[in-house]
Amino acid sequence: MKLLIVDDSSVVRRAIERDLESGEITEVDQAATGEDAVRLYGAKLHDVVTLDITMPGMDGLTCLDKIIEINPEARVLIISALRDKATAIDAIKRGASGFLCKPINPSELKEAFDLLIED
Amino acid sequence: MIARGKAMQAEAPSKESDELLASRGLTIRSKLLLFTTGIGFLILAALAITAFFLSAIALRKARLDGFQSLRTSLSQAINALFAEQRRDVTAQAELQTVRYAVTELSSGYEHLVEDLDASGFKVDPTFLSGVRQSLRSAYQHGPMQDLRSLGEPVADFDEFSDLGPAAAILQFVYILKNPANPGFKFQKNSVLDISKNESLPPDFRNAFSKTMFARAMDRYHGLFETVVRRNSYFDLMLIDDLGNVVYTYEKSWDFGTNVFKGWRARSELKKVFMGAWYGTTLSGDRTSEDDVVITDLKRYPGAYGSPMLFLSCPINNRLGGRLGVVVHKIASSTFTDLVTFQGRWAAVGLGETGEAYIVGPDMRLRTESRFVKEMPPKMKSISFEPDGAPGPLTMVLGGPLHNKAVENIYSDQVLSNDGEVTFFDDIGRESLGVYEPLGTAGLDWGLVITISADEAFAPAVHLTRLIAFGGFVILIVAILAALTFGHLLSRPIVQLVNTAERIGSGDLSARAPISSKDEIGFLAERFNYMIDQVEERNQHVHKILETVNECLFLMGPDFIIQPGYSKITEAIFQRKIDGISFLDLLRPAPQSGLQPVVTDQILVATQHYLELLLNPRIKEKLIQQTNPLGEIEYKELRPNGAQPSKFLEFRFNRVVEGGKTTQIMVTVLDSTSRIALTRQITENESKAKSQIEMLFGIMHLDPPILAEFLNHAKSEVTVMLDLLEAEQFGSHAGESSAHRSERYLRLLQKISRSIHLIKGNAAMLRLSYFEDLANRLEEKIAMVRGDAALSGEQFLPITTGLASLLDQIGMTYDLITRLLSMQKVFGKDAGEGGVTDFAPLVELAEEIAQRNGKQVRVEVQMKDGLARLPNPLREPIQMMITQLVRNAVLHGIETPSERLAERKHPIGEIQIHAYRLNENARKIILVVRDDGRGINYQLLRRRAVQLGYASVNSIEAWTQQQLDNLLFETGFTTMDRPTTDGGRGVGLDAVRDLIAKMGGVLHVSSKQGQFCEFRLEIPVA
Repeated sequence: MKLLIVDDSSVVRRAIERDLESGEITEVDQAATGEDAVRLYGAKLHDVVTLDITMPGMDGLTCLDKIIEINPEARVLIISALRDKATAIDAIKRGASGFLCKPINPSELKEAFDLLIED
Repeated sequence: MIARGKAMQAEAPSKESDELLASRGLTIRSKLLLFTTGIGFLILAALAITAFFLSAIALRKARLDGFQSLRTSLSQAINALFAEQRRDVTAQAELQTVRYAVTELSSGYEHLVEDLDASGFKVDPTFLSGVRQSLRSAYQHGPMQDLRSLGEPVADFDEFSDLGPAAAILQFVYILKNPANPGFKFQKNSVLDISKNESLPPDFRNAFSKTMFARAMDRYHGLFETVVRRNSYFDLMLIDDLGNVVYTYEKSWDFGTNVFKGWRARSELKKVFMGAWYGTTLSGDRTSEDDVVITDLKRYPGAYGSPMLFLSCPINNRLGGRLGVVVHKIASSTFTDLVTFQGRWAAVGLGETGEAYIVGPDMRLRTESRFVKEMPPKMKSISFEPDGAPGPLTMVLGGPLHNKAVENIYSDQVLSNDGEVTFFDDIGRESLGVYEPLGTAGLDWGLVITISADEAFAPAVHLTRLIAFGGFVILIVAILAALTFGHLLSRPIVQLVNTAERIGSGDLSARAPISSKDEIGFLAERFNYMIDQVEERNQHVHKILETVNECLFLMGPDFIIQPGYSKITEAIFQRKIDGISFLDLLRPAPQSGLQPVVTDQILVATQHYLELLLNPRIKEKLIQQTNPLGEIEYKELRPNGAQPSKFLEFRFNRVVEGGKTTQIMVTVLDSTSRIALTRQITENESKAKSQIEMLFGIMHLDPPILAEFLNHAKSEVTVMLDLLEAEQFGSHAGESSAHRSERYLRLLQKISRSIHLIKGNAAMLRLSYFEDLANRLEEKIAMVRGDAALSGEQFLPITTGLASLLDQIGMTYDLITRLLSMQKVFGKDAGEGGVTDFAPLVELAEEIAQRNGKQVRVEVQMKDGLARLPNPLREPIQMMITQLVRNAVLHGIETPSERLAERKHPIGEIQIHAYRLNENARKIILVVRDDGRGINYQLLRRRAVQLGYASVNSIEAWTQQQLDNLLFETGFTTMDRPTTDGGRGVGLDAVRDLIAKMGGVLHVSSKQGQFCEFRLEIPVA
């Protein structure tokens, strides 16, 4: 199981990695920018991607579009501090599989991850 | 919802469900009807067809059986006729009289001219040509014309007219000049008649009467007449050995002729003569035992072309020599009469369309057809009267027949030439018939008996019609019965359907009537039971919905809210919401007392969110946090115009049936109180915070400073309240309004100044609570001051504000009193407590440092059980240490930048040490040491001079001890301006007073730029 964590904050990336640490995950990649994320995803086609929306440079929605373009079946979990639900819904409509609101609750994150890899 | 259901029930009459049933083609009545009708028709049709065929078969058999016997008898009759003819002609040929007759007539014929001559009439050529001339004209209007009209090959007129003298004379006498009517020329043949015949020349008739022929004719004609009459022969002829026709009863145009001459040579007459004479016929069909020869029926010129059949038999003498031939001529009517039963067809079972007829090998009829009129004209031919006049059209020897019965008789393609057949006859009728070859010797005739199928099977048709009619009547009765029965059967079902309809529309109290004890009754019973269960369950659901304190409802994939929501829902939304779109709950509703405050953006987001919920590929849980309706504000429109906010929280859950989201369950929480609570908590928190701030401010102030502030504030406020009380609001006598305004304004300014002073002091002392209070009051005053026309009432809120400020000041006093009393109570037991008495100092020091832009770290070392100070000493020691720490932070420790410049750690350090000198000395040592700037004696000296403790000159002489003592003087401070924390010259003097009171000693030691240490030695009692 390969995981790609996309967030401009290293603290958040570490927190997500720590929260999701499990036997299922064999490989974790981190990306601080949308550009890196797309490049990494294109190379490895991770099973699960967690994606921040608000990032410098390429924003999360653009990044999401590109990932979905690479693989329409990509499992992308949006993790964002967005208070604007419309953007979150937009992301789901664009192909994201789920949305979690920052600050992240570890058990919520784990549950969401398990749901994501369920099938 | 229930009320709605009842209303629907009233609108749902049985007619509707009938239509409903009918629209689905489901009524039992119609099914039964259809079934009965269908089955009925089938049975009826089967019955009718069976009846028809069975009866048709029976009828056919019966009819054919009848025909067979008819055929047999007819065939026998015909053959009997021929047998009789043969017998007769044979018998006649053997009669002695006939022998004499032929001999005499032949002789008379041969010698006729001579006899006439002998009797006195000379047959000269003139006479003879006259005779011939008259015969010629008779022929021309008789036989010649008739034969031509028949298409017979009449080549030469002379064939008729070229007769020998005897022939011409005989035809002249017996036919042409015979006074009897045509067709009756057999009369007036006697000698007497001829001698009296005045149309003959007298000499001729006299002479003729005496001839041998005339006398022989006279003699034998009577005899033959008897024979012909008795046997109903058409004609009887005698032909002599030379072929001369010496006698005919009928006296037609062959009389007196020779069979070998003229047209006779081609006629059947010659054949029959030759056949008899030579014992065979030319066609070689002589098969019988006797000597009789028969020729088939054929048109005979000698009888104007009427069909004739000839029978002949040779007349022999006793030695067997041939004398002549006797010939019977038989007309077709003889056979026609036989097979038509003289027209009484019905009597023999031939009804209206049956007939029997005889055909020959040429397929032409030998007997007249019963349906000659119906026959095609081209198949008919002309018949002639005995006088040669054209008679009615006839089928005898007409066109050949073309039907199966006739063909079978002469076909060699069939196994048997007799049998039964159904066929189409020559006038196109389907017919039933029997046929057989007659087997008559010398004739290849066949017999056909036929009747039209219509008539033959008429009884079958009649029977079928009868059955059909009877069946139809029975069917109608059956349909009526089916209708009635169907109605009886379907009524309970219709009732059941009606009940189901009512239940479907929400009326669960409806029950199906149980009207029968059959399966349907049972069904109704079970149905009712089921509804009981449903109703019970429904009531459970209803109770839950009534009771649940949450707004709960379902909506379909079209977002239409479905009926059956929790009771509280309507209370929350203040209207019925079933049947409307969920999104309408987020849009302004004209009739509702609750108006949403929702942006279009949220509305769109909601729609998208719900669509996502319906998308089976999206996991519900993973998008829960995108729910845009977590906190939606509504304005409640109250009648009094108020519009309080109401906050609703919507939650959505999929209702999944069979793996498909069929509905969305919505729960709505009224989070107004929660949000109000949250706000109140926030408010309370800030209030508590401000109170704590007040407390904190109080705690951190030197009590004397606080006391001073409070006293000042209290007196100011009291003064102002007194002023307000004393002020005469309302108009003074003779005072102008401008005056009054000015008076008010002056008062206001006075109050404003006071409040501002209080505010300033509070700010300076960091009593933010009081500062805040003062500030609010100031704002009120400012509002009033902005008003141009001041009035007395406007002072009212100011008064209240001032009163409340005074209250707060009182409360602060109370608080302090309470704290003091607490100190007294807790002070006693604190020795046994667990918390160090100096711990708060650390915090205090850090706070003061922060306020003054410094950083400190306080290190407390309590040895010898001094973490808890003995009670009587505790309070004063705490006060002193507090004061010393404050002093160290304010005056000792430098700012971090200053410290860095001095190459010191930016965080200043304050050490507090407490220890007992030794067990016996009974002294407690307290040390407060900082690593700050130390005592700046230069500054001290300058300040002492400034404050007037010494002159510029004398100060130089002061000892260090003297200068140190200055630190503990009341009102002495090195700071230019007082701050919250110090600089007022109050503090160290209190320490000095206290230590003196306790009988202790205070030491100060310091090194400039390095440290300052205060050391207290306190004796223990």
